[in-house]
Amino acid sequence: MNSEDFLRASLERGEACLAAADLEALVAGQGSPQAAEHLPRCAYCRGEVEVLRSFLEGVPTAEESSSVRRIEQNLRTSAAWKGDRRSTGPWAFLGRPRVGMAAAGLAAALAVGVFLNQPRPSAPEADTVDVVRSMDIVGIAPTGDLAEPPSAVRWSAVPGAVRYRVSLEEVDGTSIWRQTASSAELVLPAEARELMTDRKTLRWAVSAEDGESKTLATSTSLPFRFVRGSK
Amino acid sequence: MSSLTDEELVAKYLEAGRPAGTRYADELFQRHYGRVALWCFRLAGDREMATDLAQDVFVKAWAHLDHFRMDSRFSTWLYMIARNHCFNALRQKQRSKEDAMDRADIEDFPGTAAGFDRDLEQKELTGVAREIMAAELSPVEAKVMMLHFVEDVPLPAISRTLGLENASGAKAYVVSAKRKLKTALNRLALRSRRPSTGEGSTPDE
Repeated sequence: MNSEDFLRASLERGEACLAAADLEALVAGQGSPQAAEHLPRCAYCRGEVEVLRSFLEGVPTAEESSSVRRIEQNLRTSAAWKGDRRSTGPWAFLGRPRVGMAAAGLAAALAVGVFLNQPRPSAPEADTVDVVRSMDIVGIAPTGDLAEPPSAVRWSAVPGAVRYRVSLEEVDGTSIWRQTASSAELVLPAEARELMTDRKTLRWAVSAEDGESKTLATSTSLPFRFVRGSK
Repeated sequence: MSSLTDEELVAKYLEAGRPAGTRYADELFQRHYGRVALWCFRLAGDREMATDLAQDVFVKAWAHLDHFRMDSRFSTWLYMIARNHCFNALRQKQRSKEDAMDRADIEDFPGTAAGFDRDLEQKELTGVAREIMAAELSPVEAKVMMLHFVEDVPLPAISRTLGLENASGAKAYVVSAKRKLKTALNRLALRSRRPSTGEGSTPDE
């Protein structure tokens, strides 16, 4: 056995290693006694827990925010994943336009579309026409690490919206606070700010409704974290 | 719809089927664009590749949503897809570049060369090594070693994904982990070479 094989064999997943549900429970601080007992004895599972945590609780830094937001926008506007509706096989990928090839065009579209908040035509789809998806809400703040709990939430306005529903969520998507607003900003009351404890990652999302309570658009959920003493 | 949990959205989607249930899947996936985008960006290190990776993740999630068994949260299920897809893509990229630059150097560990692996069965040696890994490595070292040596994730990508802000990033953790392992294995090798004092007995330390 050479050294690389040795390392791999010593570190790889074993028969007793934890299932996904056990890993997520450990990330949430709710692991079973069996999982808690296994963890200190297994480098693989210790690694897995932390990697899952980085996925669930990751917060973009100031440097990453712009790129991440553009990737998100691309997912939302191109909706390329829907191109797979007719097929679940690996060949489905072949027909999907690669984003890299259209990078320049996208950048231009984003520069205009994102920052001016203009509704864009939806991507061509095989079997549905979804006008609602042509409108987006771009979350503006808060995002990333913050020196203080944020005092307000801000997003881009949606034409025709008469009401916005804002929610604060745990990283697993559990809603912990909700409020409605009539404009594209909501001042957070003390009860909401008290939920933002030091170094705890939360996410927020907003949806826009018209006068008939029909959802016009929904934002992605944006992570943020109050970190005492951060810049 | 925004008041529904991820799992409730999946249930609604499964109940309605395609295409009627697509709106539930839309809502569901939109909630996770941000975390998948960030994860892919940190692993890929460039926006173009990250965008492709993120799209691939949602293509796969969409293709397999019918098979989500609710035995974990949806976010964990999505993580598994993202993890496997991104690690495979990075592995292929590494191979195609034949790039050894991001690979940690590996010198012989005591026991893996012609030393005591004659004395210990392969399986036994691996078992001992697993115990040493778990006992000796810090949490950060464990995850860096697992990602690099099991999943073949390049060191710079590990540094970004785990937010390691020290000057040499993940590489420093590999160096310290290897040092610890060497020390532990040396100790074990010395012990295994010590002459026995009687049949089947081992001298106490």
